[in-house]
Amino acid sequence: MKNKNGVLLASGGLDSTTMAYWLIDNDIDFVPLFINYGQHCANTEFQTLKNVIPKSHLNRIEYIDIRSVYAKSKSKFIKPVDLWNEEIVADDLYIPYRNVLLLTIGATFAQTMGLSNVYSAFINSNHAKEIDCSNEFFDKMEDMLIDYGSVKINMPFRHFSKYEVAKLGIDLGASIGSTFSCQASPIIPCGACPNCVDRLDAFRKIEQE
Amino acid sequence: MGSTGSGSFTDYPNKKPTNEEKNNGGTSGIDKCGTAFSANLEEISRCTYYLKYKKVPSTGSEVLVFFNGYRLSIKTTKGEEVGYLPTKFNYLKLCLEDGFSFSGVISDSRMTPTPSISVDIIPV
Repeated sequence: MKNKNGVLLASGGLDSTTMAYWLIDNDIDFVPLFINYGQHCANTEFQTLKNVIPKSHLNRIEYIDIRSVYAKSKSKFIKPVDLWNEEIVADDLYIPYRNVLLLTIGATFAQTMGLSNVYSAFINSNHAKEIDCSNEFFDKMEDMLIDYGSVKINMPFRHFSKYEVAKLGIDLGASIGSTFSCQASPIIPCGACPNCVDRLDAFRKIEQE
Repeated sequence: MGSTGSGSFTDYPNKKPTNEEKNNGGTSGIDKCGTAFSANLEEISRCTYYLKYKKVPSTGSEVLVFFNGYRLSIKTTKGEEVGYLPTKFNYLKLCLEDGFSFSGVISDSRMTPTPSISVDIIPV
């Protein structure tokens, strides 16, 4: 099992929190890696991560700061708007090549730590608008990193729905209700961005069962 | 990461209603401010009450609607926030600004599978 150990891209969100519990359940050791790429909610995400990560891994969280990379971005995921007074659409939240960035940093960090795997909780996104959110992209990214290094990218939830991840999280004992995944509001979840809507729909479906 | 929808940002009114609309309590032209409603609250586990007591309030507890600066929210009579109203109720912000008040009771509350709370609210 030792060769399965690796780095988990952890944000304090529903998916990566569930994955932390899933890794433990599968006897895979991991280093939780939080990346601050300038997202307006970075502080909330990091505080949440410390609250929801399994206690066994709380003191093992690593933090990488690359805020400057998106410092000039106009994305509303970097510079939030006042939702009550400014118009916003989902496209305003787009951050170019974010997943490329996160996965390559994760792989770089893993290799630096002498670990062979990166675990990412990206989920079913065949219909996502962003090119680096598609399954095709993930396939190519995995192949490239294997061809040019020794780190394997693992995305065990990539064909799951948000509902399926939430169900798994509950089964594994994760505090999924305490997680934070909002794209539009830095402190209190807005309840209206695509991430919030997906997350709340999953919760509603579970509550109705 | 990787959400596929477009969200529901239009629930957030980004302009003041006209006087005529305002008199009707929102932008829909319907007298929503005077209407009772029921709702399932959001983000229970991240709100003050749950963080303080690690449980949800009992069914029958009295609650009030308020605006916390970001979301329309529900609090106990002691001022402890228990959860947020879904954004489809965002029109209530204009109602509150117009002087309406809303109160009600917790109609259902559960700890499993995740903390959940339902409320019945009436204008007062």
